[in-house]
Amino acid sequence: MIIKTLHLKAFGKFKDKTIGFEPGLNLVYGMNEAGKTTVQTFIQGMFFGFYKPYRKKKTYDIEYEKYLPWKQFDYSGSLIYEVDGREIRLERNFLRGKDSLNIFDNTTGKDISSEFRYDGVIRQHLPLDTLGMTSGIYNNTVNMRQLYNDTESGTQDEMRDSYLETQNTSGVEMNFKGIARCIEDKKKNIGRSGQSKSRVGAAIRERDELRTALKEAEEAYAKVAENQEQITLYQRRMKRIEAENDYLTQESVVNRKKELLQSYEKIKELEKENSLLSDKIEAGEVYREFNYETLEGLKTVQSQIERLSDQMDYIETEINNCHESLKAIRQKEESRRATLAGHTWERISEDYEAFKKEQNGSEDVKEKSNAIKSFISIILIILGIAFTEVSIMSLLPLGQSIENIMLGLGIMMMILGVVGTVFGAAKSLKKRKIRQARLLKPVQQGILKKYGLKDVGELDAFYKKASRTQSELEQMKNEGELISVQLSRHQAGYEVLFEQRRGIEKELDRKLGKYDVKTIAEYAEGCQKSQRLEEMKIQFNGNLRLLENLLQTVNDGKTADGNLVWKKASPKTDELLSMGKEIARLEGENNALSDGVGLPVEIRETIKSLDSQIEICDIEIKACNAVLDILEKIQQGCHLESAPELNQHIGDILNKITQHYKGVKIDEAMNVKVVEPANGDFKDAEQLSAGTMDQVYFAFRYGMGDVINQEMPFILDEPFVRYDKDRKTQALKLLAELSQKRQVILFTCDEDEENRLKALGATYTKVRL
Amino acid sequence: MLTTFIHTGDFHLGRPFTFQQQGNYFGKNKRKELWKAFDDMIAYTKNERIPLVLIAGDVFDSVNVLTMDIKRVAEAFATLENTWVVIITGNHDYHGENSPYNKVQWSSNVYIFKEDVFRSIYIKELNTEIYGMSWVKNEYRAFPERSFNTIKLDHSRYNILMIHGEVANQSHYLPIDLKYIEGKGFDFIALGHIHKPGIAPGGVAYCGSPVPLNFGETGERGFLISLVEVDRETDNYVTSSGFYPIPSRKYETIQIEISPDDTYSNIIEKALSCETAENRKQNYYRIRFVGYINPEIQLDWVNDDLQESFYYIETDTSQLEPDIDLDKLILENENNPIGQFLEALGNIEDPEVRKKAIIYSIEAMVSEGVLK
Repeated sequence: MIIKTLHLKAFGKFKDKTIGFEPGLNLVYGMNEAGKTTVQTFIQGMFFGFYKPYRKKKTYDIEYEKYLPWKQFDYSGSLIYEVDGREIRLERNFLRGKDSLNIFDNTTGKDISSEFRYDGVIRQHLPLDTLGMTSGIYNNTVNMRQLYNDTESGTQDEMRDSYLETQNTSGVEMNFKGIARCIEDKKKNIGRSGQSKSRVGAAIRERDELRTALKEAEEAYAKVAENQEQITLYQRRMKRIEAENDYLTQESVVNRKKELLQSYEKIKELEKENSLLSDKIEAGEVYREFNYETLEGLKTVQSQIERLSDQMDYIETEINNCHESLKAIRQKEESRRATLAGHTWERISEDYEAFKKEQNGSEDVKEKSNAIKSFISIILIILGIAFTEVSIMSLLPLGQSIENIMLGLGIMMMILGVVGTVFGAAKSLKKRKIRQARLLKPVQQGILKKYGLKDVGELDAFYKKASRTQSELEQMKNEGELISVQLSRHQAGYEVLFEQRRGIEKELDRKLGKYDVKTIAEYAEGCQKSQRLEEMKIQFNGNLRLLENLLQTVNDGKTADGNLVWKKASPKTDELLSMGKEIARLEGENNALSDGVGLPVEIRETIKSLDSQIEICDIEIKACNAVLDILEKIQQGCHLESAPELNQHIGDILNKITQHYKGVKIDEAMNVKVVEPANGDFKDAEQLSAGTMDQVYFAFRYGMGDVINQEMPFILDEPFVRYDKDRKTQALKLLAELSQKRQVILFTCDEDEENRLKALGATYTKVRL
Repeated sequence: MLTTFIHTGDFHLGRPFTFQQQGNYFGKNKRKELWKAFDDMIAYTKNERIPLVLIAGDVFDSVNVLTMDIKRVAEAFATLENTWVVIITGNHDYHGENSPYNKVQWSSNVYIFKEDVFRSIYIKELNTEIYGMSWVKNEYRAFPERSFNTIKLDHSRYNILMIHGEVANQSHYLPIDLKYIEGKGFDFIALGHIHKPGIAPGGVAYCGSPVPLNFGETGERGFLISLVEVDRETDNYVTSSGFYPIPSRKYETIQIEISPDDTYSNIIEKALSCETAENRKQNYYRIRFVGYINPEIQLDWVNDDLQESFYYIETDTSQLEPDIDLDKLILENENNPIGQFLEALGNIEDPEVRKKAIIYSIEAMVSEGVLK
């Protein structure tokens, strides 16, 4: 391949700059800052653009910015090169967003882009793809940049593969790359299906996530199970306690129910009663002040009044009695005085005195019959004789003593009989003498006449009667006086009492008036009502207390008598309660634990399905990897076999330049080691001097380019800065030799190179920038 | 007097299932089926007034089964007011430290054996004595003989033995010597653990899993019902057992022969014609392709292409070979990179990877024109 013309339409500091190259050695001369590296980079850019390799998305390299022109409207150029006798023109726009590459047949002007492989990431065709050239290989073999010794990382494999491709000397066509590409494609497609399988990567990710989820779910459910076991334990214990309690309280419960029922009825009753009471109390409130003490006081006053009235009544009776007595006494006096027939006692008495004076001596002999007295005396004598006889003769069978008593008695009786008989006879003789002496005088007669009397007897009777009357009259007079005194006393007393009573009555009226009643009876009635009121109040309050207690009972589980039957009967109520709470807590925790957590069983199943998908994919991937592995090993085997040639080739080049080092070893990572001729030790290039290191890489690139692709030009930017003269000469000699086969483009700022080339007699084209 | 009873177990409730795609979707549906089978059993028990249900272990798939699942079971049993439910635990739901049976309260009609020695419960109203042993750890390499030998049966009662284990000489899952335990004279031996139901003469039975659990479990599934009668002549109990099937989705494995002449669409067609559309939409299918296939045909996505025609499908191509004579190829290219390459492919250790690698390589070589 020969690069013919560069047209830097707008690139770095260049604008519309055209540079032509010839086949063979081109010496591009330019002072510092002339743009040598720019031109070199332009060539690279024309072929590959400025994109980072191995990216899934288009990413710009740092060189893009580096050569972006000042006025960033245009960033483009073209390059004409010739390959296999065909002139191809590349037209590239570098500008971001407008970047493009068009490939033309420069002879016909036809766009031949489609003849080249298309890169889906940068969306451009790849002009050097047919030459097996990637930007990595290009930069490691074709393009030798200034002081750029390291092999570009990531390109070793490409280089090795490229190298090995060229080394396939067997007779059978074995397109390792093609097979590997097929297997790679296969690998990419594993697990990719629109239907049930997910991509294996996604499946693995999902499985990993599910494993974490499973762990969490299992932990959660383990805790749930643990809680549940605890719950069951509590439930069992509760059941046991409940059974115990049931046993203990069965009767109590029945009682309790009865009691509660009673309590309710009682409450109802009480409420009704109290409502009635409260009405009555309201109505009876006016009697609140009435009391029995006062009533007693009032009654005392009343009884005082009554007592006074009684006394007054009595006095009044007395007074009446006095009046009556006085009246009776006067009437009696009248009648007594009437018996005196108008005579006064004094007159009568005088007259009688006078009558008696006349009669003096003539006495009345009184004759009395003594016949009975005589008879009794004779009986007594007879009996006395009888007794005497009996006792003397002991005619009766009696004791001596009794006979003596009878004898005494008989004698006494005879004596008494004799005395009696003698006395009776003397009396009768005296009476006869009095009757013979009765004879009256005239004075006496007149007196008799005055009083209408017939005889002395009558007079005597009259006198006696008058005397009696007189004394009666006198007595009456005394009585009358006495009564009068009493009467006046009574009257005075009555008045005093009357006054007293009136005062007390006034006081009573005042007191009653205070209670708005007229009588004590009314007050007493009020007192009764007041008492009822008090009673009602007491009852009302009692009911209230009872109600309160009942309500308390009903609410607290007490019986009507205040016993805590419920508690007593259920001694473990608190424990039950706390276990119930604990169960509720655990259940709540369980809900929270299992909320939003997948079922472990289901997660496990999903994992198993994924596992089986992944396993299938895994086998497929393993198969692909195994194939790729085998392909690589076979290629490596090829490499190992052919490496000595490469080593030899590069060693020869190095020997030519340095005249010292000749043995090199390229390892599988395309690192170069140099054999120290003195002792045969391998040295890494980095361990050598800077100049020698440059020379090793020059040799490597030169040699690699030689074996990998002899068609590509060899482009070098100031490669000899650190070379000594001899080695530079040797290197230039090599380049001159190389330019016979490949186009060589050497950028330099030193005229020394030209001079040496001239000295070597090499042909070259000089290009000035 | 016991008249009839149900023998079931191995429900594996709460089990996680393995499906190659959409595992949680199919798994969820599968678990629903387990519940449906369980509910069917409960409903049957209620409707038929079965007085006794024996659960021979592994009601739950794991000791870490969700609490709500355990609750659901306990609640269902609690509704069986006139039924005794007797449970032993199995290797999956063993009554260990983390026992699912401790996590909820069980109603009084449920009796759970909780020791790994033989104990019994006598149900007076049924004149039935049930002996059982539960798992309290996840492995038993020996049968608890000593405990078993202490059992003395009262033959006036109906005697049942419940064990969860494997009838085998050696096993990590409680080896059972059937002859030996039969010698004791139980009227019925209710076994659990083996998922395939089986009734042996002499009143020994594996109830099996009421729903098949994987492609290995085929055939009809359900629970066992036994009738108990007294022989009037001998005065002995006579037990007759039968199988009550529970409908569920089946697991079907179908083998399809492929020949090198088959095109991709031929292959799809063959797969679809293996079953009626109705069955395809009902059951779980595993299609195994065998034979030789044109190396240019890739079956990577055949599963996806068949998916919509099946309820569930998984394909197995492990027994399908590319129609290419690798040995001959190697021989012909002995001394060149192709030979080298093919030989290296043949040396890949993992057979599955090797097979794929060869298929891919041949495909690539064909497309690159290396092989014609």
